[in-house]
Amino acid sequence: MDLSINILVVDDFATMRRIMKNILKQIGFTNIIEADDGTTAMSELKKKKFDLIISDWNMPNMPGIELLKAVRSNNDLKSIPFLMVTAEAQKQNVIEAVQAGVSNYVVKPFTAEAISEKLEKILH
Amino acid sequence: MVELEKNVKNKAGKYLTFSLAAEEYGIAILRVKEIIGMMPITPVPQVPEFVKGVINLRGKVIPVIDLRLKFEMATTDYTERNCVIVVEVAGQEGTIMMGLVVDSVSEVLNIKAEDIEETPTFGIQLNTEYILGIGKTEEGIKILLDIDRVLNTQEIAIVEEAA
Amino acid sequence: MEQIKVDLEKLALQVVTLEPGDIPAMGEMLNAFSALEEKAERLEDQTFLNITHSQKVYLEKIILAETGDMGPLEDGITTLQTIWRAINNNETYSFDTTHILKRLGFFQNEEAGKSAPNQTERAIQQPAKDEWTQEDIQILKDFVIEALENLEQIEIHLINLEQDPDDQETINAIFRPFHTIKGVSGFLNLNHINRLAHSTENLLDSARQGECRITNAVIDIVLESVDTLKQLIHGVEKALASGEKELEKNSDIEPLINKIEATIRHADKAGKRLGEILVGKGTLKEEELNQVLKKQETMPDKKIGEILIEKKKAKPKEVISALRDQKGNQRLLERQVKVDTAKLDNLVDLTGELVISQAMLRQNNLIKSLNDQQLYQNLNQLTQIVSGLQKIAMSMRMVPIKSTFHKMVRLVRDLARNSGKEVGLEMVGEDTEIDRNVVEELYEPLVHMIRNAVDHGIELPQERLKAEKEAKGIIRLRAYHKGGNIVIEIEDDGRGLNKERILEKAIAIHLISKDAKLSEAEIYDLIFHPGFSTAAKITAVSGRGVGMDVVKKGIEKLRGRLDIRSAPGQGSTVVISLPLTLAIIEGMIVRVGTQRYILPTMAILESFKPRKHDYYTIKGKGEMVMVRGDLTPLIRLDRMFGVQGDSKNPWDGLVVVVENKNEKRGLLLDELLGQEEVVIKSLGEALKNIKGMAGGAILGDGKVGLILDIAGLFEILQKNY
Repeated sequence: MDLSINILVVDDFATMRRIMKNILKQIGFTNIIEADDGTTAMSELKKKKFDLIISDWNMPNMPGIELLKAVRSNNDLKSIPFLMVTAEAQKQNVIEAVQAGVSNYVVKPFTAEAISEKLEKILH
Repeated sequence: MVELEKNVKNKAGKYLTFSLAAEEYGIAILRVKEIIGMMPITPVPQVPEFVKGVINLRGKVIPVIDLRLKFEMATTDYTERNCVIVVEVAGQEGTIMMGLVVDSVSEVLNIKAEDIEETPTFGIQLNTEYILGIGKTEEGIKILLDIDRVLNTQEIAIVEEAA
Repeated sequence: MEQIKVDLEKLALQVVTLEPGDIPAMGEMLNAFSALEEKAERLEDQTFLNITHSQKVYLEKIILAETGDMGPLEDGITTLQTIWRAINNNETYSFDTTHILKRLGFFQNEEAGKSAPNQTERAIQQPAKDEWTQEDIQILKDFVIEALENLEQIEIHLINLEQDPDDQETINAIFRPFHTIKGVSGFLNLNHINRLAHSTENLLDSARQGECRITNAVIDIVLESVDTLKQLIHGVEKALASGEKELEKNSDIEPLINKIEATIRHADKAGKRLGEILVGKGTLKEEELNQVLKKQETMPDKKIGEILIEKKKAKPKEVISALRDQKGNQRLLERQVKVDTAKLDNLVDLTGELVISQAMLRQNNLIKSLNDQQLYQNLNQLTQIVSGLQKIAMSMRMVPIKSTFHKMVRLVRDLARNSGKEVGLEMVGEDTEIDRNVVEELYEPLVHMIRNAVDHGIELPQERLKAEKEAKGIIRLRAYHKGGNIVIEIEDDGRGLNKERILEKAIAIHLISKDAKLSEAEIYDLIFHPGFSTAAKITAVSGRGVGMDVVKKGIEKLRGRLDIRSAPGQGSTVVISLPLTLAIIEGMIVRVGTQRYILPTMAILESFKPRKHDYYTIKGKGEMVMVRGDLTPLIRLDRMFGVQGDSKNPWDGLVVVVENKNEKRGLLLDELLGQEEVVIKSLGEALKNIKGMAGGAILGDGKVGLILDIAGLFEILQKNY
């Protein structure tokens, strides 16, 4: 895995972003940018080239699924790997995300190993 | 003994030096916010004599202390050479800014650990608790001040009963 | 028909090449199955449809990692291809598909995938950590702050929800924080918090899905959960502060969780909402609604609104308006940034300095002597920009009073419940802006007054009915700007203040003498006296003797005033009038020798030059001056402040009469320099407790002037004479 890739972490809860960042740093990633919902994520995506998006499902203004759909329907962005974070018991969400073209999903609460394993699959 | 060495080591660093009468003093540069020229000081009642009053530092009102008065040295009228050193000291609710009136500011010196000596004891006539140590330099000795002790907010806040 | 064949071939290829865990490929397949399912409708072959659908559900299971066996998928495609060939050749096929359907799980409850009990939930329950790393602790601390902020938001939304139970946007806004708190607490091994947030989230989710109607009972339970979560989180906060390893004390949350789960099970089914709104509005009668609802059962495609309009039970306009109510007005979230308040204060300080520098620039003699048109234009523009900047900087300290008002909704609700009264709260002028610092200080006095209004003002329902009032009492909170002040009114339509009782009590506790003649306003004022309470019964929430005197002190601290109006049987109104901001004071700049001081204009009664015979001394010490026939103690500011004044004798100087708590004093000084609005600056931690000083102000020339605190001055005087 290339550890120098640019990663966008999207979650409205700052603590959650921090946990995710810690895990990513533990794995060895260094370039991590945060956004607090889909709308801010979209403007970050326009500013800079990203190699991976990790987004929470549940956010105000623009939830994760809409961000995913927006990314997949944008020619410049559609090939960016997208990891969706969902809560357990929200299986319909997973199916919806998979149908919308998500690269993979991870269920909260997750461990560093789970994230690492999913990223191995996504990033090859 | 090990404890003591560590103490001295921690004191090494850059100091802003200034003069009061014939003596040279130093304050850790990290505590100095800025140096300004003398400006009109508004006296405040019911405070110890060494608290000269308050000044306007870019919209903030900060207290000003006369170090000569604080150290019970002979005072002179302020001239253009006098400076106010604005320092940051530990208060009960975070750091606060205060001004120190000194005779003149000299220079910034890097004082090594081996050049710092423990404060000698002078017996009971002289209170040395706000001295960190004595710095020896080529131009002579510098008395290094523990600024948090010099400008103890509680001491300043002691309200003298107004007449 | 041909298309189905192509689809099937493509799917067959995809299945064979599918690697376990290749989510994007599975997504494509899932979409392909959905497309196939649609097209298969036309085949009118139930077996084909069943298999296609089962394939889709089975694939979802693979995606959800509930199974890893791809065999049934491959076999399913083969079966579909066989069936298709048979249909295409108009042959009847007669092989048994039960086996493959069974393998695809067709005979199991299809819904199982959606609401299967989740295994992950138990997995969270890891043992508590022995050692928290520095990073863990930081995250926990962040969590505490963020979670509490979120819970605060929930309360406000809940209260909105109570007014408007169908607003999906509000339900979502409440659901989201619970969901997030649940998620994060799971990571942090905060099991109690996690479980409680989780079950509350379930309740809200079923409300979101329309399975459970938002009733008062539901809102009560969510509020209870909010309170308990707050307690638990505060517990974590304390444990963190004291460095304990055990972050969650053993608190019993089971009863609450059981209650929440019972609520989910016994929830009212949603629906028939539109009709109820119309009934509530009086457009429709209850029985009419029931008739229409029955009618709807016979024609399920028709919406209730359509039937109502067709039957002429309601006008289209009314239905539309009810629909709009049902949807709820989507509250627009303004784009906002959080700014450290210290930065804000800095900005205000610096703009103040900018105003002074700019004024000094204009006053500069050299600049004044220049006769350059362009320079003056530029200077004028600078002045305008600077004053605009100052306005904005000051306005950034202002916040709408809304959030403070909204906190009262919950209070009124709880108080009314506890006292068995029916009380509604109406709010007017929630958008009125007020200084951030004032808002914070205002909270407690408001709470006290609302408590008083509910406990002592509003009567019990039967009492109100007897008095020919509606059973439900109303408290009105009103905020508006008047002059340079913000006025807040707390009005209730209760029994009003009882003048006789107040007088009796005041005489009983020797506050006034038996034969004192008091005006109505003076009588009402008595209730602000410490230790005064006329409530016959002491309730749990509303205090004993404490309360109104605390209110008065709080308001006076904010440089405000309090007035009471009351009419027996009709209710009382407390009127609070406060300066818009604590940051600015209207002051009189006075000179004593070389020093300038600022007197709050509010405290000044008059100023005059005393004549020699107006001046008296008592025992050669206490100095007095005659003001309109009253002997008034004289304070020599120069002596008090240890500065050299110009006036040796009182008749050389000027006396300014000031008042505090109905006491008057004459201040002897040299000159009045003029009235000005000044920004109050703190003298800082070291000097904050100086008696008689309210702070400092930067004057027009950039120097600091001290603002006098009249109450403090009086106290100094009392000590010394």
